[in-house]
Amino acid sequence: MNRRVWAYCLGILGAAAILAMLAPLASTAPDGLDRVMEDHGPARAEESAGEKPSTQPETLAALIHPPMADYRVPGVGNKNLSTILAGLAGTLVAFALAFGLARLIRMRRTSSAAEGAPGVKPRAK
Amino acid sequence: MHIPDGFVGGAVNATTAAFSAAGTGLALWRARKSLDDRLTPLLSVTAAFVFAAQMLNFPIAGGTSGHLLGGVLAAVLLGPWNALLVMTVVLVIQCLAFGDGGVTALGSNIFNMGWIDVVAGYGLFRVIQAILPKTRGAFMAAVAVASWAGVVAAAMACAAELAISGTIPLGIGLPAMVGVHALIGIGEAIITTAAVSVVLLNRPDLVSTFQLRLPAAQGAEA
Repeated sequence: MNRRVWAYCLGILGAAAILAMLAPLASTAPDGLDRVMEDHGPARAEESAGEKPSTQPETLAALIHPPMADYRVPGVGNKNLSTILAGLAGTLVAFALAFGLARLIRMRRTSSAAEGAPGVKPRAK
Repeated sequence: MHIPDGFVGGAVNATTAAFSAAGTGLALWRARKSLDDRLTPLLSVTAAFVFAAQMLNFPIAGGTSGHLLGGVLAAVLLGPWNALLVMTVVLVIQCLAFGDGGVTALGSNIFNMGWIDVVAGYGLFRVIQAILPKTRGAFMAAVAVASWAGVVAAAMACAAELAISGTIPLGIGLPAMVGVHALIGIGEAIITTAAVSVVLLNRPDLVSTFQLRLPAAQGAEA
């Protein structure tokens, strides 16, 4: 049972990986918020087209340098390949972080009384 | 709808960050009750799927694009608390590893695309479920309307933050944000409905809210 759920979920993970590989096909047009900022925002809205706001970097923002800014793996020349690799990396990190978090939560639970969960129901098959 | 640094003021970001932190803490607490052998793998791959799907901007009218938020998708599959955890994980990774959404705006982004998308979208989903007959078609209709509404609600929250910060007045920003995201929400509804349909077709037992609302569907096995 458990193994079957895992097999199915790994299929979803595979689907996510395929989506990540399609990332170069994504529209590069400004998103909804960027569009509104361009149309109605103050002049600084030009920065929204993917570039960092260089004017007055706030201290917290200046401290953090995203390793794969703009969904690119640094050092990979081919733009599409760079985006694909970044997408795959992010997909795996999201999986790993969520799984680790879930495991941590469940480890914490085993020490306390396990309550009847809404999710725990008679399972199909 | 990822807010970069500099669009929203420090006081607004601090307030939304406090709400987001409290919400995620509450979600961590509530998740203890529901996470089992079935939900743990599903939660993990939902985070991966939402991350990947968010990379795929689709074009809408007027040289603008949008992408899935995924809060209602996660909530329908996993329940609202687990969904909030999924959205938090995805938004934190996007911010820290990819520079998508400002570090100073992370609280606002989790508030809008986590809290508001999940709470408003899932809340409406439950209301529609309560009103409509308990059929598969009604379930999918509820998923579609709720996922659309979640995006629009998140856009409203974003417009409010921009207005309070003095970036765009509410009278201009609210209709603009809602107008654009009413279109993007259609994409959200299509993707969410398609994804939920696929899981529902293969493994209805993995769709928490479907199982919860339709215990009769389990009758054959019981």
